[in-house]
Amino acid sequence: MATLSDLTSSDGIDAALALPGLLLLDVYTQDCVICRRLEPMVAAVAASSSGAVRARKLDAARHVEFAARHAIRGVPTVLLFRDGRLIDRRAGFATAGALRGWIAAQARQ
Amino acid sequence: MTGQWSRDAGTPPFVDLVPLEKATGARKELYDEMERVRGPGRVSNLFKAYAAFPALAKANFHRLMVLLSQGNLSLKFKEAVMTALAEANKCDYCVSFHATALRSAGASDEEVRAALEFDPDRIGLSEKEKALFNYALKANGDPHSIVPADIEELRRKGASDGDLVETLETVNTGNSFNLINGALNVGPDDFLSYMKGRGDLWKKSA
Repeated sequence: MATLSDLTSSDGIDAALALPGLLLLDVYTQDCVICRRLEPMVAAVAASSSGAVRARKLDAARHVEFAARHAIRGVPTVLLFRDGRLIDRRAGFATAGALRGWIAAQARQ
Repeated sequence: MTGQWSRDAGTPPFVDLVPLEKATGARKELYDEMERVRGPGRVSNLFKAYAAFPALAKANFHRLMVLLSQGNLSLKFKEAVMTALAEANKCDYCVSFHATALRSAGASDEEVRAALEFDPDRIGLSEKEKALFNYALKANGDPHSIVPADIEELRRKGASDGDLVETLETVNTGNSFNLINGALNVGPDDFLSYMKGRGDLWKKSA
């Protein structure tokens, strides 16, 4: 699957963060070309993880408070949560391979 | 959602895909050359669309033949890159075409799946080609994000200047074909069957 489902409400965000395990949150905006390139990478990482990693996306322009609270300085930014707690972030485009390596390194910590 | 799969079965292509039996002049010359190279009837819908500008179609076919038949990198690598790009670009015709070509280049179903999941470690490539596969995806995602450390890593894996150019031209070729097919609503060829309708599968899961 090459796309991610969008978190469109505060309740949806809370519900996603309330679940245990690893969550990749792809923070994007509609007019961001590189965000469109990143989305299938994030989706593929989750799809090939046998359920170990979930992935969602969030439009920073529609969730300004969330973006401010998480110090989003630009898009795309990928936030990595474990059990609802933010454990790392990375900005800009990344290949699926780079994301897998990043997640594996975080999981070892 | 950002973007749509290219093929819309209810809408015809936006340009005339002249069939083989009705081709004349420069268009027929192109079709004849493609049949000589690829086999009887195997003139792809992409090139039927391109043939609206026959000289450009011929130039692009020759460019494609150079890319696929020359250089240092394996055909399996190049088709894996173009399969991955087609998936990233949501071009279902291109997924069908290049996944078929990837199978013909020796890849297993699992290796095709790995290309669609952007995972070069499971495609059966050399260490150099694995690194170049990720380089291709990064160049496609954001060429300005490539830094000297990326190139140094490729050099450690044995990549030459020619390998870098060959990889980037594979990206260019895949992307340009994805764009033509998407923007002209060109659908999969009748002679393809493998992975056909991936866009339909995706629409059901969305």
